[in-house]
Amino acid sequence: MNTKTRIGALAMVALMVAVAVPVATADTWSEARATWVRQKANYLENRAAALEAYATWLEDKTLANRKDVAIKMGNSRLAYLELVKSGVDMTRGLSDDEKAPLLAELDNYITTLQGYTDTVSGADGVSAVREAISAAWNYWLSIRVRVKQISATLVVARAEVVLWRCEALAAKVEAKVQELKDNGVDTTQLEAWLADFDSHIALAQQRITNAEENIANINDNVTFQEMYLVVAAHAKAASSYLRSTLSDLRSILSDIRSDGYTVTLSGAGTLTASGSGTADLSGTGVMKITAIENGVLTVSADVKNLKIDEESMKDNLDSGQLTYQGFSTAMVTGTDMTVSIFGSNITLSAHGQGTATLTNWSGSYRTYGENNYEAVTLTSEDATVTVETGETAG
Amino acid sequence: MTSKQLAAGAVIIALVVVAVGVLVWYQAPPATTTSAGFDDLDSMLDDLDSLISIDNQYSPSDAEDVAAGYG
Repeated sequence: MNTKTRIGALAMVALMVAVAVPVATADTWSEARATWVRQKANYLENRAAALEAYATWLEDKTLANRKDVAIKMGNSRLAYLELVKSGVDMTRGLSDDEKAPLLAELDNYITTLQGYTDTVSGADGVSAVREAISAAWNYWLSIRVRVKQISATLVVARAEVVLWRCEALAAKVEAKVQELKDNGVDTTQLEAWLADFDSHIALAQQRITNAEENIANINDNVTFQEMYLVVAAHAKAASSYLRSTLSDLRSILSDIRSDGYTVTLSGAGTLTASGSGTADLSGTGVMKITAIENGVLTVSADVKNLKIDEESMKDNLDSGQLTYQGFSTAMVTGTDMTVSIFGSNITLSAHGQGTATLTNWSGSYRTYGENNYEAVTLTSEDATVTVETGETAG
Repeated sequence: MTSKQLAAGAVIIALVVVAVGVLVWYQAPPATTTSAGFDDLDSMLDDLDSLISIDNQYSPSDAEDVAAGYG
């Protein structure tokens, strides 16, 4: 092999490696969704087969037909468990750490139920068949409530992630509206739409909270279907309000852009945190504090849009920064702003683009970024989160 | 340069073009996970509704279970 041939061969190998590596990092969510769609079709097919076998048995009540019903109903339940499992995989808003135990739990159910279904399949004689069917049925009775709870958890997680993504996009829009207002542009109509958005997002949030609270009521074999429907109804209402928020945002964006201004929506995420300690935020967007005890809020002097309880005490620092104390709620909107919050039992959310550093934080936080979803618990620890991606540094 | 060398060169160029094309395609940001656009949110809401719907209408029902268990 001469030198030119060797160089050519090496170049080809390098190119093949360069192509192969990104294949491994191809869009995993799309793959998970495609699997869920396949599992849905598979479940419906198995369920239809089970119902058909049941109809046949009603016409002709032989032992063979009875066994066929039980096997096909077992397959239908197995396909349902696979569907729920693929649903876990494709649920954005659940971190990998949250998905792992759910997937392991469902895998365990699938393996055990498959064993019971195989036993039915291999049973011979009236009493053996009846005994195997009874065992399979009792096992299903012991897991179906929990499986329904997992389904409800997925519904809530999906609704929640849409809400936080809406908030993230809206934060950049709100920062832009504030910037236009600071520059003397008439933003009356834009602010009216933002008020609509806030109203719809609050309604969606309320319904998601209601849905989440009702998951615990899916707890017995008699009412579990009914209780699931309550969760689903709240989630459905939340979904409807969230569609309204998208419509609000579209209107605002259309208006901003028709006036020749630009808003970049990419690079926006959400961080929610609860606990005690210090949170320093820098970036563009909105920070909301919905609860705090003994809190101190410090903002840079250029922050113009700060909504805070009227009874709060304000101080001007030598550095030009402003501090506030004696408040329980606050909201700051801005571009390239810095905000620092210190206190106990804080509930906060940061939406938009930037960095959030939690120092000596005891509590938890969640990220809903463009690339990452994390759920982290801290005990007097530090963490730095890139809000738009949802990734924790280090 | 012989015709064999020319043909080999052409094959390598073609392979390089295909490889670069595939590389660019895979490197493009996946719309569903990194797009911050509304289409993504629409699709997420569709998935939510679809999940609610399938679990409402088609999950194994009590009646069917009873029929299958004790029929």
